[in-house]
Amino acid sequence: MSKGVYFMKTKPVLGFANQKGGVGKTTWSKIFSEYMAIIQQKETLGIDIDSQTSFTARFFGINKNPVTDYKEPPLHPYYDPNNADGWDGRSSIADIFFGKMPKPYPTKIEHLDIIPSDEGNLFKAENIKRQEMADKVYGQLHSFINIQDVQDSYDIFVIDTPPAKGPLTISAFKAMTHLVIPLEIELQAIEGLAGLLQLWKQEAMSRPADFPLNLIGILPNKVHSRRGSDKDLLSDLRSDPSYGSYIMPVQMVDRMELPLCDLEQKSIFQYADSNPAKQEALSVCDYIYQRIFQ
Amino acid sequence: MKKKYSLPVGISTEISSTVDLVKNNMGTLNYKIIPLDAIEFDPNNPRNLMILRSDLPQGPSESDPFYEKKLLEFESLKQTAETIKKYGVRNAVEIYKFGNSYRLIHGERRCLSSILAGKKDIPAKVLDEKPNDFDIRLLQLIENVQREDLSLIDTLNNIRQVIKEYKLHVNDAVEVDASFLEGLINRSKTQCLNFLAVLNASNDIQDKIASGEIKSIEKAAIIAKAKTSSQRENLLRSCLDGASLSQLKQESLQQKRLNGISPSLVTNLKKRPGKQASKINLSSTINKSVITKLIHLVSNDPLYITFKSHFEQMSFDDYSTCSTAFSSLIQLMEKVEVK
Repeated sequence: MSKGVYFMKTKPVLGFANQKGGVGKTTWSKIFSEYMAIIQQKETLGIDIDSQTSFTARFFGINKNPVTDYKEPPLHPYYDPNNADGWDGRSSIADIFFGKMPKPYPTKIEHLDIIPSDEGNLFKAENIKRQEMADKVYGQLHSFINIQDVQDSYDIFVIDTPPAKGPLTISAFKAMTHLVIPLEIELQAIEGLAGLLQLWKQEAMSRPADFPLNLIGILPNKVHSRRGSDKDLLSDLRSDPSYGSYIMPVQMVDRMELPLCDLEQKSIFQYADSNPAKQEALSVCDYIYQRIFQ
Repeated sequence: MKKKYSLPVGISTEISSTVDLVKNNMGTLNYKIIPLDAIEFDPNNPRNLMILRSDLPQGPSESDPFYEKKLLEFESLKQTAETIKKYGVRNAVEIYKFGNSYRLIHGERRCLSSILAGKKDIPAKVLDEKPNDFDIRLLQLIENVQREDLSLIDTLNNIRQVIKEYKLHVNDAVEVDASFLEGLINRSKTQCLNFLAVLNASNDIQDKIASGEIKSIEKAAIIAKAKTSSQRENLLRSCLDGASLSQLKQESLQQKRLNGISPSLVTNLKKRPGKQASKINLSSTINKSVITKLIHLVSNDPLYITFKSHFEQMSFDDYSTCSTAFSSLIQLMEKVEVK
């Protein structure tokens, strides 16, 4: 049960979620954040609420604390040790669970800021006693995004969620206005989809009419265009009279460019316009954009 | 090209049932924790309680014209407040949005008791808009019917009202049976059968309920279900004399046994096919006390009193003696009746 009242006039908050790992949540959080900043030139805040910190690593590399061995955020570019006022120079989304205000990090991409993850502190947040969870975790991301300064600074928020149905994912769900579920077209992943839809069901049914959680759709990802099973299963999913309309009409084929982008810390939108991976990424992002801002 | 692979039916069904559920029930589970300060009582809906929020937490003032009633309510609210302190509010109240605050649909006692318990907020199901007047009234009445602390007469009046409102606004031709009532007020079928029996009971039972002399729905239902007016009167008398529920059940059971005997006697009167009987078959029994009772009854009749001593000397310990005694009785009676 959420504490307090939803803020109805929030800017769009798009979450990529799936309880299964490796289906493309981080990849698509990054691609869509870049699309909003580079192609649409909108002020975009990417939020990494996954303690695996993959989304953070795509922009800032991996930073491990040598003492705790946990992955932590990089030093903030505006950190001045001589004028820190007790701040250690690192900020992450975990701050919202401990009464602190996170400081977004600028990226190399204009219009795109990121609030990184923090492995150790997100673990702590997840382990807050169950009875305190509703007060201290579930509603916090929604409250943070709706702080007036935060709302004034950005046009859209993009959340990368953990591959689980735990408290951090619930917190992300409570903050979202729109949801995309990346899905690999294989049986195990489709089985897992039913579990995530339960989370969507719980949240969507709990929302007031003027603050709905819109399921933009299930995004077929890493599709093997020549594999018969992918074609057949996708055809089954799309033709279902009940949920077929939730399977997005666009898709992303399993292509080499996406992992290369991560390795080179490069955006897919920096590739040539003729690149098929870029074209597919654009078509997926255009579709999501239309659905949010139509 | 021919399809080789397809989704297992189970998975597809699970996904489609979830999606359909959401499509049809968007926003129906809108439960939140709402500050009690943000909830106001709806001035357009009649309240059940006299006590006001301003009477809390000290309790009503002695100068209040409704002091006595309010004091009773205050004591009842304090009891609920103790439960809330221990276990919290178990069932969410229901509210709807009204400007920047909320108005209560039902849950007045839980709100006031929560304030008494020192709570600042309360779990609530939030509706986006005010339900229509009928829906609110129905919700409030149903909520009241479900309360355990209501008097029997208040509960019955609420049920009467629920049925009346339903007939007036939804379907006036509905057949009010236990299944209908079960669906309407969410009580068990047995309870609904009891409610219906008492709602349709005769005036003498209704009067005793109204005066508070009968407080138990179970007792009232047992009396109301009596087959004949004399049986009803007997049960009513026993109830007013302080019979417990199990005693009343026992008495009713005996009445039912007696009721059950007479139809079988009537059945035996039916003309049987074949050769007509030329004598009376006096049946048989394994119950020796039936014979002793018969002998006792007959030998106390002034007509047979002279034979009483004859039977008093007999012991009825075994079936053989009982049979002999009964045969003797029949023979004596035949002689007396022939005379």
